[in-house]
Amino acid sequence: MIEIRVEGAGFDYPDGTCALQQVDALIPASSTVALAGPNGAGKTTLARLLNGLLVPTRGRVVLDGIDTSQVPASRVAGLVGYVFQNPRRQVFASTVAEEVSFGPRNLGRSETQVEAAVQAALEELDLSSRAGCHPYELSQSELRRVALASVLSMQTPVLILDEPTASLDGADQERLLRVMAGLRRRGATVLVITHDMDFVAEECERMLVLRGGRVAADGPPEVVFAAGPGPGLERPAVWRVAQALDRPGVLRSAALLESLRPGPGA
Amino acid sequence: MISVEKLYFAYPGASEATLRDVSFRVDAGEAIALVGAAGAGKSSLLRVLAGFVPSLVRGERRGRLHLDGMDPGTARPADRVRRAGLLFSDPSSQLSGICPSVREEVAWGLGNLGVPRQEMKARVNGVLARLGLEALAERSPFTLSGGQQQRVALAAVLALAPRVLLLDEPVAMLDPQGRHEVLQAALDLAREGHVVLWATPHLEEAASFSRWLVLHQGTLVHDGPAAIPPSHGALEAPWTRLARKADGFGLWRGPWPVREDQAVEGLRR
Amino acid sequence: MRLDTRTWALIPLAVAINVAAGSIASYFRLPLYLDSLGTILVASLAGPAAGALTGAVSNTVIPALSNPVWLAFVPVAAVVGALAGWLARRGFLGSPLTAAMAGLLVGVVAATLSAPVSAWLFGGTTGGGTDMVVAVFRAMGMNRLEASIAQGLVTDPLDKMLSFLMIQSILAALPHRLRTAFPQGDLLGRMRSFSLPGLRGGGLQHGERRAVVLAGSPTGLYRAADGILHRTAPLTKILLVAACAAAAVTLPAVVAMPDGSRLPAPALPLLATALLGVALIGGVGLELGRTTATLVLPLVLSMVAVNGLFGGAASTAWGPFRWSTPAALEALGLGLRVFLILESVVLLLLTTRPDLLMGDLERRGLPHRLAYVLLASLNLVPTMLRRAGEILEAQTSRGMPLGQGLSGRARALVPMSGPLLLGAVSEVEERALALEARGFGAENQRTWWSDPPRTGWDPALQLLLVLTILMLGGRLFL
Repeated sequence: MIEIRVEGAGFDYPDGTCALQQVDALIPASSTVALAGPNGAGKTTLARLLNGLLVPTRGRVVLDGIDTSQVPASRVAGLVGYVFQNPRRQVFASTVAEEVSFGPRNLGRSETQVEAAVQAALEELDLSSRAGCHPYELSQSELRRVALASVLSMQTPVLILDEPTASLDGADQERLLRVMAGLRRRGATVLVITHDMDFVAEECERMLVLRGGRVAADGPPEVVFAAGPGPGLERPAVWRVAQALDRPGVLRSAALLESLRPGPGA
Repeated sequence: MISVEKLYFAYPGASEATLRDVSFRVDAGEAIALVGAAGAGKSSLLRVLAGFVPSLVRGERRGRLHLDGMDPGTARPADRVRRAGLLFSDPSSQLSGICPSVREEVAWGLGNLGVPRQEMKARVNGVLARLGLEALAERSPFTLSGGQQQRVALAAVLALAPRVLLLDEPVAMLDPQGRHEVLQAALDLAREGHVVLWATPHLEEAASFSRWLVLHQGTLVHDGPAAIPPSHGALEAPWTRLARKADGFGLWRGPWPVREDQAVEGLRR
Repeated sequence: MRLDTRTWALIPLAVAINVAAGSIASYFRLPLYLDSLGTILVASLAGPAAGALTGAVSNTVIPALSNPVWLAFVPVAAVVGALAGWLARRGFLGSPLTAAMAGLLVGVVAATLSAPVSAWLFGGTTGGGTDMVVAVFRAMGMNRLEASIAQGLVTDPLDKMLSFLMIQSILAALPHRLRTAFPQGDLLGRMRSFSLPGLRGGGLQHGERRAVVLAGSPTGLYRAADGILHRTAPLTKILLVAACAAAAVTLPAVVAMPDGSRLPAPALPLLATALLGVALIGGVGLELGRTTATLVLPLVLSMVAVNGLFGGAASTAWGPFRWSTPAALEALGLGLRVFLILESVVLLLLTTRPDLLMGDLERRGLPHRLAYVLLASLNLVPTMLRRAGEILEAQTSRGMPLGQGLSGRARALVPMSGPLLLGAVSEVEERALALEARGFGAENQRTWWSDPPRTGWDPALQLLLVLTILMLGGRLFL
């Protein structure tokens, strides 16, 4: 149960370009927060500040009371898992099981712990039958699941997902929702970088919108969407449908459908 | 323009065929969405249509195939290229990587085919104009955005003057702006008389096309106006997911919605 | 050259991997080059000819990016590629043990072949860190050639063995379909794979702070401008390089004075200054000065220093140091020759846009496919370095330790290079199809959009340079 405090954090690259101006935000423990905004607004920079790949050049990032600039990157890796978008930039092992074991091994877990974690992660993503396959024998969707499994196996208290819903087919969407539910159950703090507003509506209790390196909006999705669309911030389909059906502001599809049920006596 | 009869295709050593018993016909000026999940066989079908089998892509092909008057699989490279143009999803692996400007990039393919300079200039300038790329003509392709690069790749293929354009998930790696640009360009090209076959796993994308060929596990399960067949495996649009959920609540009747307004109508009832 | 389109598509990726792997090795401060990783990959999958081509292209592209010295080792790199391909064909990639043996053999061959080049052309030094090693061997009494071989044997076999092992483990595990899509893929035979030693990170260590950008993206030596030299035909500049090479080889570097002493001869320094003058007229004088100062000067100074200190009969002594003026002088002479040649190459690269250079050569007979791999490789290097950076981020985020101990850092090689190699192999098909879709495979006479630059003086200049080369060359035989 880790809370993340971002206090006046900003980042400039060595050559002077400013990637993030100033961000103040609080990501409460065990919450699922969306990070949205147009390309170039600083979302990936902020995410990399949160997982320790980058150290803020201004301000600080505090994970569970620890300032990220005071600890080595590998320590932060044990706290914050980051699922990158392109599995081909990380997959290297000869078998899926080996790939998924890379993370927990690096964290120094014992062999039995590693095996258990790997098995659990593979099961969660329906990859158990593929454990002995070479990653490149898998389909693109399976490969993405391997990348996700290899971070889930690290069982970090915080998880950052980079565009997890891009090009996901129906079955994978179900799996992702199951994973999200599992993360909520174990109290993980989850940050999702995404353009998929429907996913945000369905799964996130808060959203943080960045624009030009600063926070443009920060609050529950209903409030943020009600305030109006913006660059990098289209309203989700479910919002529009709810509006059209005279149920403005209803975002969770289950809630919307419940409200459409014929009531007693109708 | 394209006529496919009982097409069968299998990769060497594969236990199952990738394409089975696929038949359809396409006329000039048609814009068609080739819809299907990953692994349904869309890419393989496009590669067969482009004539890359068996010369470049190994595999066994059976059935009859005619594209713009010939069987592309038996054509010489130069003829094949002039009949069907194939576009992939990753712009950076399609651009030659050796041309310093967009103009020269578009001209490269013509240079490979030995087209005389006068004609080359006319065709390149014409294609750049058609796709609205004149403003970018002197820029280096490496400095362009994904959407711009993909339009340049499209221009490069178009310059070879194929009458059939085969687009394999052309906007998969682009942002919404880029997706819109490339989609519009493709639809315009169909209006001008080309055959445009656009493969995608996204129903949302396919909604812009009036005719759908839906592939499911290697067979054609639908050929006609945009409609979602019962089994397709393709990526659903948010409103289709909503409709399915509604179905779970017992609140949905009728065919799945292809567009958002259909979903609203369906739920109203 | 009859190669599969897939091979033509793979080679630029492999060359870029050579550069990126070298960058990874230096980021992790490993005593390795890893600059043949891509070459060995191509050699294994596509055969000796393709391997040789990859090696040669690699050593031609790196000069255009950073250091012209590599040009001298093109033949060595080609032999490495050819030998690797031949060994692969004979099944040496069948198991890790035989792969290591193959690597050892190739490493010894590479060290042996590059030593003469290093010793005779560069006085046994490179201007880099390995000169320290050479100095140690010279201090032990070895001559230039022996010291060069010794230095090569210290690093090359290890470097090639590791490279072969990495390629073996990647190819052995690779799905059959991917491997056999390549011409030599099925000739590799049955391959036994092995699980690389468990990457036990040993718990969270206090390692390097942050994984910041892997390496600056090289933009190449070329500087765009509108000077007179930029508008000169590329061929003229190539002939200038050839003329300087002829002059460097045939003109005396050292002249004997009447009183028996020996001094550096004026001819070569004069020519070098003249080149600088030409560069100034062409508007690239400053760049030429700066580049030669950073790249070539250290080399020459190192040559003089190492040879002077360890070069033979001492003529003076300062404390514990013995200095041999004749040896130093001889090295200086050699250094002047090298300086002139490299200076002219840098001048060529500074003022000639790579694609225009290739275009000129193509019109005079260079096969288009060769021009393609040279240019495509050059342009792929920034992309590959960017990818390596992304891989570094992804693996660090999974806790890959960055900094403790040599063996710890060496274990990073597999998670770092694996994705590069695998990624390249898997994207080749689409690249090859895209090339074919643009008519790459067509067998006919090419045409071009534009012509390479030319001024009115070029024909005359080219004739003049050719005559000079013939005249200088004639001196060798007279």
